[in-house]
Amino acid sequence: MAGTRDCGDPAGSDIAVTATEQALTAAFRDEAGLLAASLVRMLGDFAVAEEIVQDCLLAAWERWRVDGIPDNPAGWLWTSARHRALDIARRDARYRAKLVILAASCGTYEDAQPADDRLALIFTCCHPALSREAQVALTLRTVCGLSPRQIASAFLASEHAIAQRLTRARRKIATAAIPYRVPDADHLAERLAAVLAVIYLMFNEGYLTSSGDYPERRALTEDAEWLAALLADLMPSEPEVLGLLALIRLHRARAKTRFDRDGQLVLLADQDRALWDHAAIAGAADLVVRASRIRRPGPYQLQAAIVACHAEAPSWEDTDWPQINLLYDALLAYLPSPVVALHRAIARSQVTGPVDALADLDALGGPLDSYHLFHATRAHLLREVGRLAEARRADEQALGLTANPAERALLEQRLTRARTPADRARRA
Amino acid sequence: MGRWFAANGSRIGATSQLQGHETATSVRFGQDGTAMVTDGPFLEGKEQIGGYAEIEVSDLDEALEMARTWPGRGTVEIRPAVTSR
Repeated sequence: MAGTRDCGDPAGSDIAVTATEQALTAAFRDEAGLLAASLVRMLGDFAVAEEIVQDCLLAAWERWRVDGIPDNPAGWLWTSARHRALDIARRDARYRAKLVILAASCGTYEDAQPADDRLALIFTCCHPALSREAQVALTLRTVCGLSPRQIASAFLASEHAIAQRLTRARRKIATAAIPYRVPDADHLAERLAAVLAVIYLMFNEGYLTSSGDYPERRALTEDAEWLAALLADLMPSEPEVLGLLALIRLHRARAKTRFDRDGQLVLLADQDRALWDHAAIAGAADLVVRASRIRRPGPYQLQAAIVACHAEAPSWEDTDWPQINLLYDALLAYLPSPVVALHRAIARSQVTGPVDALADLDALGGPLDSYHLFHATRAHLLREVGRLAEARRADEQALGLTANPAERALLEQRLTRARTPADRARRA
Repeated sequence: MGRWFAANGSRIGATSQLQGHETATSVRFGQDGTAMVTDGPFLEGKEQIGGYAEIEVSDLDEALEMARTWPGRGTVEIRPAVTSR
């Protein structure tokens, strides 16, 4: 469907067309996954199901932008899918029996309302027998209805590479007989963790690269939020799903203030909190509370709770640091990684002061030696305790370890500003 | 190929042609014995195959369930066979 969501008529830039296209984009995202899920269930074949979805969405794009979105878009697409199915059945004997069943499956489109199979679709796309990249691409393609071109633009990959990745993934599902179903209770937790990891990876990819360097690049943060919200609808009693949704919303509610007008990175302590979306923050904080009432804590809930503490604080100084510390202690039990320990050390420095935090950091050393934020954090703490020469060295080390232009600019600025009069005198 | 099989038939037991390595799925065991499912084959240079079993299952999850409970050491690789369906 390379020609659907992103094929706006170049001449049609007036507001009416844009509004129509926005409505179409929203309708497509809601409908593409539903249609794909039903077709995969019925045909047992990802490739042919996606071909039908693509054709139907193309037909809808042509029709709906003229006639408007029908009252029952799912029914419209389902009817269109039956026509396409008959076409393919005539052409390809392999699918004949199944497609004939599909073509005969329902009467008028007013009463056609395929069952929601999207949960099975999501779990199949994120099956551990597929590589993480394949899981991400397949989920975006099938559940969100993105075209290979849109996926390619999100990951700065070539459309050809993405198309190939999708083909290989579909072939593996067929050949290795990856089942199309929601896993049973014994494996649900483990399999759900993979689904959440896929959504979080999409979000991070979109979040970290939204600096404006590549304006043509698709921002995945919205797709990730949409997916997490869909999953929360389909699995409302899974607290980690609610936690991930809250986490994504809390980040998105504050995304605007991460960069200033010149594209420079703004640290959390310096961000203008009045510009945050406080309604979205309150809604996400409610989700965190709702999740915690289920009494099955997990890493996404804890991360969301930490971010909620930051998002609800009136200022950096008036942040509930002791609470954040406790949450990091709990998070470390789930994710015992040096990076989480680094974040905890930053939080601790707000409670116990920079001297203790520096000791924490030095104990972390080794595994984080090639991580620029470790050195940048150390530099900040060293400067606070007046060890300026060491601070300078640490900032230089950090600078040597990151290629991100916004981060480099911030570090360079810090190095220039930190140059003491004595330094300058020595240089002169 | 048919001629080769005919000539050596008396010495050949069960055979199947396997699907390509890109269809493989592996189950590895952590130090505490927990099973981890990963994408791809397990053979990397020096590893060696210790044995094989042909199994008849309805889908990959059923095969994975068997592999997870494998009491021996090492990795279990699951590879679909070419069938004439």
